[in-house]
Amino acid sequence: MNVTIWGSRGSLASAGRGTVRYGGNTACVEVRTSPEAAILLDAGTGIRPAGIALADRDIAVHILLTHLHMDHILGLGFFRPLFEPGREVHVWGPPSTTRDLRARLSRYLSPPLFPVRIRDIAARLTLHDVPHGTWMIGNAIVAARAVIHPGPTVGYRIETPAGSLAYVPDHEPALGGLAHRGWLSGYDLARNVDVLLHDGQYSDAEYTERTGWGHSSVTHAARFADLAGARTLMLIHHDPDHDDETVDALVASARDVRQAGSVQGAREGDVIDLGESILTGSRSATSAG
Amino acid sequence: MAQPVELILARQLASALAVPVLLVDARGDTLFYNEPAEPIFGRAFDEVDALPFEERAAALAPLTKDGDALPVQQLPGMISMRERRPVHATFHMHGLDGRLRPIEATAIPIESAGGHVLGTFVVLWQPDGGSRDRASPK
Repeated sequence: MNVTIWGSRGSLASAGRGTVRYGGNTACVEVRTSPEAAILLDAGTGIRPAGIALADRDIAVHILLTHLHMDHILGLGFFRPLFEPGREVHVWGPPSTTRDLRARLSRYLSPPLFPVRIRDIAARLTLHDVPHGTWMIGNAIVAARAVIHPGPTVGYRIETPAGSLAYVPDHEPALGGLAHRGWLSGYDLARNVDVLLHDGQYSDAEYTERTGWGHSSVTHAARFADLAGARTLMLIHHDPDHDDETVDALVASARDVRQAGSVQGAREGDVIDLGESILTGSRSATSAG
Repeated sequence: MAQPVELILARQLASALAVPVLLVDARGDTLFYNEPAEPIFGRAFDEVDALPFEERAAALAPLTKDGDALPVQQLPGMISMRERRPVHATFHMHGLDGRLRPIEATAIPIESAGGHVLGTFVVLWQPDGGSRDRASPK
């Protein structure tokens, strides 16, 4: 299983000299578990360079949206494979209580917000409301679960014999309590995973000012990772106002909190190899950034 | 396995409210009741381990206003889940301390975005503020 971070920023893209190391693109993570299919977690602005890497290739693409806030879908209209006639693209995401994913996504992919409508996209596009339970994408077992964040929001777990990964970039588990696993939002997704990509947007002080906005302090992220038994916590969804030094400090403070397991900050361009590498062709671990 | 997020949030809301609340899952098992509900149930929630539906039904032994046995399937929470609608009812119920109390209850089904009934959120109160507790049934 190969994991590439194409965008690690939360809320708003934030290019600039202060964010060079962690990157300015919003959420997009590529997971490759087989040569036949690429899984892209979220479609923030990071999906644009991901689309360039995946353009003109005979690979089915599965885009798994956690929710439809703009920082997670803004790049969708700039994803090159969507405009390749006949290209197989699947988009998975949560419906609302009254609208399916197509109806919800059409609010962005239509005028006046975007010039091209979903029905005019050249690719062979299939939209899926995320199912209850698990499903297969290639050789990967995928699971989605609703998690605490304003509006319909899910996290994902992807598992193969080579390893497991959980992706919960927008999550405020502290609202439900961080004491009992049975009452822990996101627990089933993150339980004993090799890599947990989790919301680490705020410092403790910032969280007290922004409780209920749907995000975590790095302390809460570290406690969540410990409760879930995640081996490596990779903090993602960095606040757009946090420069690289601030993120470094937040990662260090999360390390101080964790009782078992490691902590890293997700950086645009990072490539993580869980088990046997399946990447073939031109892209290498060092070319993703 | 953790509870669905809808129940996690419902429990968190209940724990922050000053009105008595009972949270029940789709099977009818008691998941939680808050501190204001403890006088109604006659015991602190933390003193109660799991409270499966059958055990709760036997212990609470609800009665109609007229003193007849009330089938547990006719409790407002069970109706609310079965018929997917809010239900209000007045009845008598034993606490876990054996005392019989008059109860009013409004139950709201908790239905997920996928259309699954996950449980019910039952707001309880004692119409007389608890002054008419009775030591023995009927």
